[in-house]
Amino acid sequence: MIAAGLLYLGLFALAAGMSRHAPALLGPWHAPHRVARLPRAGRTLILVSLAAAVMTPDWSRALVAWFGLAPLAAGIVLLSLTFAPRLARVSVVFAIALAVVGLAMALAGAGAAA
Amino acid sequence: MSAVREGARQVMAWLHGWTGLLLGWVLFVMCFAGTLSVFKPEIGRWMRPEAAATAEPVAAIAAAGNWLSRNAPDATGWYLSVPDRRMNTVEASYDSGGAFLYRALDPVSGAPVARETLGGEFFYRLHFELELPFPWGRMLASLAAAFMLVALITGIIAHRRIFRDFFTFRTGKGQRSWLDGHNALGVLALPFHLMITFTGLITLASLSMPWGISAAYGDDVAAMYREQIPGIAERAATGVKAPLAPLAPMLHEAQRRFGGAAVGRVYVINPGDSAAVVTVYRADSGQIGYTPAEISFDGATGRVLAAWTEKRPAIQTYNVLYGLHMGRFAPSLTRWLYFLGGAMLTLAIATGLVLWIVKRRERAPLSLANRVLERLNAGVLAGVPLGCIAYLLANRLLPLDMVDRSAGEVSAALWTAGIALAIGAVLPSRLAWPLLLGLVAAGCAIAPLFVPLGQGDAAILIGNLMLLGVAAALLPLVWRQIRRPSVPVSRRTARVPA
Repeated sequence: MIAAGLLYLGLFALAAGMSRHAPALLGPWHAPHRVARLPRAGRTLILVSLAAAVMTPDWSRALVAWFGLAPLAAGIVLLSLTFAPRLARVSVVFAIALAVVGLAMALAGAGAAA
Repeated sequence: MSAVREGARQVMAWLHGWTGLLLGWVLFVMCFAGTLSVFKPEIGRWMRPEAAATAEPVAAIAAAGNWLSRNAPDATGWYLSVPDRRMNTVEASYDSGGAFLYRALDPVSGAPVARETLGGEFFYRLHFELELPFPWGRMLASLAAAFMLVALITGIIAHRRIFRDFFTFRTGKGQRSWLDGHNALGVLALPFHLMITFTGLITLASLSMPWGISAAYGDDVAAMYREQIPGIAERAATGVKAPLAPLAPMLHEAQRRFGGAAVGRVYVINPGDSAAVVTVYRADSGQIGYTPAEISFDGATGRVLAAWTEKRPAIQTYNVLYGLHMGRFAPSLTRWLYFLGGAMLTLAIATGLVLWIVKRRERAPLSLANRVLERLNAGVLAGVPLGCIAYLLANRLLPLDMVDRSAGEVSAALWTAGIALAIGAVLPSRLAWPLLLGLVAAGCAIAPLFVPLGQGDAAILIGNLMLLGVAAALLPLVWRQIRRPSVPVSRRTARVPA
């Protein structure tokens, strides 16, 4: 879940970092200095998401699932860019919630194990 | 960009087009059927609504063994799959009187369930055998997979702006839109596409590239299998009759040796012979690698003949590649992601084939050969799904007590696809597309009516909802095609450049 949330955020940041898509995705917030930093942030988020997937106990299956989640997340960004950019922005909130809930569950699981 | 680089790109684009085109329709059938095969057990449940009984795996296999020893005692082998959470029946393949049969056996009584059907097995076999006789179907599938791999790699090289266009899809622009769609479908799931194509080639490598095996083992293929799967005990039938020992204790013993892991498959070779062998395989759902462990018993006494847990790195690598392709390890979310990846690859192939025509149509009137391709596109790309819908409808409509019922279902699928192909060839494509897609949508809308919503188990409910979803997605498409039947010959000149 952490991986899924972060993956979406990373791909969103990558798309938002492209001058072609920035106005649609960021709306009033697309200032050039912010947009310039977004690609690096996006790449970092994707790597962190991959790390989160590999660090799970069942890492092999999580890795396969990660590669499957990537087209899903990227597909949501792409389709909403074309048909409903608002949806991509709303999904950011969901992605953050997913990552936070996933983190909370992982911490709770670690706490229960300890 | 240097002229050499640009020239190389053009060569790659040329190769991408031709490798994609030549076996494109075969690849479409393979990917379509393969994507459905992800849900092979669930399709089986959808197609057998009467079979609701469940039983413990060991009891189900024992019941199947009892029924088979009464009804197929002279078979050379029974190949049984053990019921699990996804599939409630025992899937049995066996030969009887020279014919090879496939039946779903009731887990309680052991007898074949009502509504004889191949279920998801049809799509699974279609995926790599293409309804052609052995070995030609598999050979063609192998060749097509090799073309697919070439098309994928040349596609990556030919793509001009793989990262800049990553999230781009521009609608309503003719060729540009088809290209954007084709690129997005191909690029976004590229790791999946490469994985599934390469591992698919691996599964058929012993057939497509037999030279390594023949160099090491000559004609003695059995020796190769003995070394690859040491837990199978192979021996010839003696011709002396001997009753098969009870299967349940063997399954319990196997489960104990597997460390409590589930049993996946049970093969009984030469049942009823004094040299019968029962081989029990550990379930493939427990890990990515395929065939992780197996144990063989003497059929007459139940004594252990051979046992093996795979630890050799090279074989394990092969098994993991094989397992990645089969996807049996996958928990439910990953299965849906496999389905998504497969659907994207299927659509990438379909859009690529349409793109071939759209691209040429926008430049000049189509040549005769391309007009043939245009019509074949409609016939195959809409006809194959139509055949599959006919298969599902035949499952609901054919009388339950029909002789050779499962073959009847397959005939319905093949005849429908054949007729669709003929319609595509006869009608101009602007009529054939909406007609055939409309029929697909209508079939998807009708099929769920036979087992109403709320009746039957989850697999039936989800299957029905998916069929309705496909119908709902296709209707606007068909409606659009009917409203704007004539595609302008050159859209590029008709539109304001973007």
